[in-house]
Amino acid sequence: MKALLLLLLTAATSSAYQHFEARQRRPLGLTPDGTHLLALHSPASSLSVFATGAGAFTPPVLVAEIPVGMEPVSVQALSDDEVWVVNEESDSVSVVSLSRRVVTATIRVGDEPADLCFAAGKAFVSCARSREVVVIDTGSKAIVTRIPVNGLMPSSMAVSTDGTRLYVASLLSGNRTTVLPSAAAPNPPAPTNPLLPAAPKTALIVPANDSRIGWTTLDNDVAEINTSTHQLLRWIGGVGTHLFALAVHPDGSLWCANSDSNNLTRFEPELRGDFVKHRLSRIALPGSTVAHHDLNPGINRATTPDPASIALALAQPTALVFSPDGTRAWTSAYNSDRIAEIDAAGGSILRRVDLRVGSAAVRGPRALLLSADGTRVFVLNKNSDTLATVAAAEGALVAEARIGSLDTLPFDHRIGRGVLLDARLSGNGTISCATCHLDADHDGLAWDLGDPGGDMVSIPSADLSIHDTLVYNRDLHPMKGPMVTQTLRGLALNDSALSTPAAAVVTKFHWRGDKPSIQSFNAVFPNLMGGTARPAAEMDKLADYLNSLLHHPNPNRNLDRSLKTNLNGANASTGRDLFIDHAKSHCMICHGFNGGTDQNLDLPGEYGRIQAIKNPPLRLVYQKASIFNPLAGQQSLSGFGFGSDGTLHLMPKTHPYSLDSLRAANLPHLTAFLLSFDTGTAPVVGYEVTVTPANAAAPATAGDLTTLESRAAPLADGIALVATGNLAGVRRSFRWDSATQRYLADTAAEAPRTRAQLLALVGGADDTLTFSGTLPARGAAAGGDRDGDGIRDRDEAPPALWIGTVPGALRLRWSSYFDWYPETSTTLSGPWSPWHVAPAEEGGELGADHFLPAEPSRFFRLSRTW
Amino acid sequence: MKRLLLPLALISAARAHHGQDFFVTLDTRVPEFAAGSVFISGSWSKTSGSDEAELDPGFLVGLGAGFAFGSSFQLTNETPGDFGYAGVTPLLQWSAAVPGTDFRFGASAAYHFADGSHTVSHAAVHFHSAPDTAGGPGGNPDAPPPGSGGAHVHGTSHAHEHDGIHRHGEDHFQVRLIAEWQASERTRVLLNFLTVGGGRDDIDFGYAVAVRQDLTTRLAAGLEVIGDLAAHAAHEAIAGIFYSPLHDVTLRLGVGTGFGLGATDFSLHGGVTWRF
Repeated sequence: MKALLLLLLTAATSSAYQHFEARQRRPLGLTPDGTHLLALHSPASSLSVFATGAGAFTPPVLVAEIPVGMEPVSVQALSDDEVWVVNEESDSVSVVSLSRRVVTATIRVGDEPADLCFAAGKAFVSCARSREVVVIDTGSKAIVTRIPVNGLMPSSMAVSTDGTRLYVASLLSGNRTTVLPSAAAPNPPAPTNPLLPAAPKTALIVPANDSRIGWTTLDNDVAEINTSTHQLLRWIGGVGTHLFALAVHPDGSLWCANSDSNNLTRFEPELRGDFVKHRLSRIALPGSTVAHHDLNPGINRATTPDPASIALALAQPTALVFSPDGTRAWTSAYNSDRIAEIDAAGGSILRRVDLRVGSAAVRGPRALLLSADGTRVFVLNKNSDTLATVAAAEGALVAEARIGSLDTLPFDHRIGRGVLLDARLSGNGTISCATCHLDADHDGLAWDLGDPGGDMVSIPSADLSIHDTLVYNRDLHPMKGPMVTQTLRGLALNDSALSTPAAAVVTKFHWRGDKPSIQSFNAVFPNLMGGTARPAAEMDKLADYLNSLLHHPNPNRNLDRSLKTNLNGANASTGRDLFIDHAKSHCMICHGFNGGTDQNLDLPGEYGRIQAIKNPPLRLVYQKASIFNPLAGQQSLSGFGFGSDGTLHLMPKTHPYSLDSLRAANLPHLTAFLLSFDTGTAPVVGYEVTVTPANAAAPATAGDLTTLESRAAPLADGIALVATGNLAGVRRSFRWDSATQRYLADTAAEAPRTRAQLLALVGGADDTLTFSGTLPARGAAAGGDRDGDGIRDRDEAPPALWIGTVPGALRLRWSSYFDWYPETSTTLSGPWSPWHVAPAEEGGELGADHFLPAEPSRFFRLSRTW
Repeated sequence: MKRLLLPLALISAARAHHGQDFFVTLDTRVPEFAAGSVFISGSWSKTSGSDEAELDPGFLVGLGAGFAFGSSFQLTNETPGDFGYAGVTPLLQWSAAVPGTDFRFGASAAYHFADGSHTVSHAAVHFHSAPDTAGGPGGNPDAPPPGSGGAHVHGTSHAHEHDGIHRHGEDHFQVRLIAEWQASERTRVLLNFLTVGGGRDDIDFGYAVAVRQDLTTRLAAGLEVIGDLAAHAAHEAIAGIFYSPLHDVTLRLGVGTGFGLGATDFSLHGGVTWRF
């Protein structure tokens, strides 16, 4: 019965769409010959290939969709056929053959890889979480070396014009601020609300060079690496707070699209509507002089909604490209649904192109590219998963088409994410929730959003650490002091499994638990962003979207999710035993499973705080470890540490709560466990093994597949296991069925196969199959039933094609979905080429009008994208 | 598990001296042979909305040659709503003057026997649940298995405990090295170096410093600071007045405040000593 209940629970969990919110860095690419545009469809774990065509008003046509790893974020073409894709969740690079439409190799790199560049015959892959650049031989696909890059989330990269230097930007580089602990901070000012008691003495955000600060906060913005020797030559600072994209100008200078946060201003009313600048910054290589170009000069920073400013603002520039002659730059304002053309000499904005046309849907222009002839700007809209084509000279929107044929993200989630992204909801168009919650994560900073004119808040809590279940009200002062920005990912994974006392352990949000729901953050729009409160329905969709976000797997765990017995010399498994053994520690009292929090606000004195703080979850301890060191004379990578106010750095005793009978020798093990705290996502999710005839019989392959299959069991990790690839020149997909221990094919005509039977099919020289662990909800789509209609892919009926005429044009119509595209030829025997039309959906069919061809005869056919 | 209580046995030991009174600092004055004192001390402290009280009766008798022996007994409300006996702390102290100087040095050794019966009832709060460990996002394979999750059983000999020098609820020893300087006829300065260990914890170190100023023959004022040298140091400063209506009786009253992570917000101290 227990197994049945668990199965039902798994099924219920599987029904909800979940994902990891890919941090796309370079999701657009061009083949060297310019004929194909490469676009990542991250929610579908797919690479979309568009035929670009020629001419300023020619829409690209989706011609291929190739499965890659989970949450692909960057793509680069090594040749006209070989394309490399960086998969953030899979921690891998997929090497793709465009002609064969298949992954030919999977290279495992570091944790949360972000970007990829080719230089000196090698591929350089930045790995944000593991803070390194992995160097790969492009021929052998072997890892040459790993270069430690001591920046916070090293992500976007660029190569110098001569190819000798690689530049790596830290996404969360910080802004040279840190925190002065409350003991050293001056008393806070008096509240302006006369009904308030005196404010608690809190910490204070100060410049890193404040005389009261005894440590050095590094400003490691952009690393310069020698592409031949792999030496990190220097760090360039002063570029910005959040570095989104790098681009090398034809004159050799390095440009960075970034935002710069002002967290030194104290209190929400003072920050309202004005706490970030969006910039393009020019670094005059080989020097390090930085010149900044504000993307919003003259914007009215008034705190009341100002439509004129909102209509012009450019928020969060995530991409930057230069025209071949270097006179112009194009940048995408991810939070504004605009792209802009910039005068590269002076930084002035020449033109803004609004992408939110035709519908009010938020687009999220994340990346852009110029076509090979420079006549078009291709824009990848992340929020709408569309590709916009803009005529560069005219600034006119030519077409907007789906990135991929499957719309995997639920419609309401897209709306919810739009609420998070949309800076047009702020008073002057420069701020959105995503200004600080980058990609629904955090910004690596602390902010003092207290309000001297606010009101006290009472939160029901209990002194559970001393085993007192009586419910008390903790009175929270609105002048709360600095609070580190928290991630919005994994919120649904923090719900407490406890039920008593209900009033204390109920789900709540914020460090202090002063928000009962995601919807209750609506006041942020008027109070902090200077906009207006959103309708309740929008907030509901925002909540649904945020609750769908997952954490990445913890890289400190083994592939089978077990704990390592040697992590930095300590035994995480022993640490776990200490954590849950109440005869030795009290950790689990407050940091209860699953997420490491009981949602309660315990006695502040028990954890050394002045004001009550919700017992924080522990799932992401590994991400915050070792980046903050406030000891005298030390260097600190971040200005902010573990604690709610940015203080605290010691492990495992980050706060003074007694660890009871733990001895000093126990502490390293407990630290190892905390660094391995389960994130809620199994390590096999996203794990990939590409099988070719060369490794089909290798023991390592068998070992990996055994692990994947065993972890797919419902009582293990309950993941979905799929295999996709090419067999005998045919695109194939399979899905592992744990119940029968067989692989189900993408056609009902084939009987389920054992692993040995499936691997026996990988015999031809070009045969490849990539086995992937994935989320349960994605298993069907990735494993042989793309549209989830119950009809397996190879059993789907092909669409019907109608050709007719309308006045002045030829009209094509076809049934089925977007995974078929029209091709044309002047002869029946070909050659066939994509018919560059922008299809429109009408009555369950797709249709496209085009001018009548001039040729005496023209043939049309439909081809499949996969 | 109330951290708010200052180290019961330590404070008791500090109070259990014969002559001039302090709250948390031990001086070098011990009774002469066959002389002694009885005392009772009390304190109440508050941290972040939680309060805690303790009462420490005890005695100290002189053994001669600078030695003295005594003991104190601790009663606390360690368990919410349950004020009761928490342990006993016998003490041996020695001190001597440095001839020709205004300095005296001494040492004390004490051992705290915690009361095993004074444990917390956990019956109502054993909610170390065992969430599902099955597949699907959100689970945690490290949670205790269903049915055995978080079996929350304390040994019979140990109540809740603290580390650092502020321990209670477990057996442990305390050693103090004492230095005293008679700065003037009416002013004394004291320094204690504390070592606390044993039980199941590591050895920890701490300090106490004090200044006492006689205001009149019957009235004195003092300022003391006690703290530990652990990673998350908790310190407390106490200001007090001492009144002796009779030669052999002293009344004490003090108020304290903590500083440092995990420190007490506010505390009140009082007591009576009768010397014989």
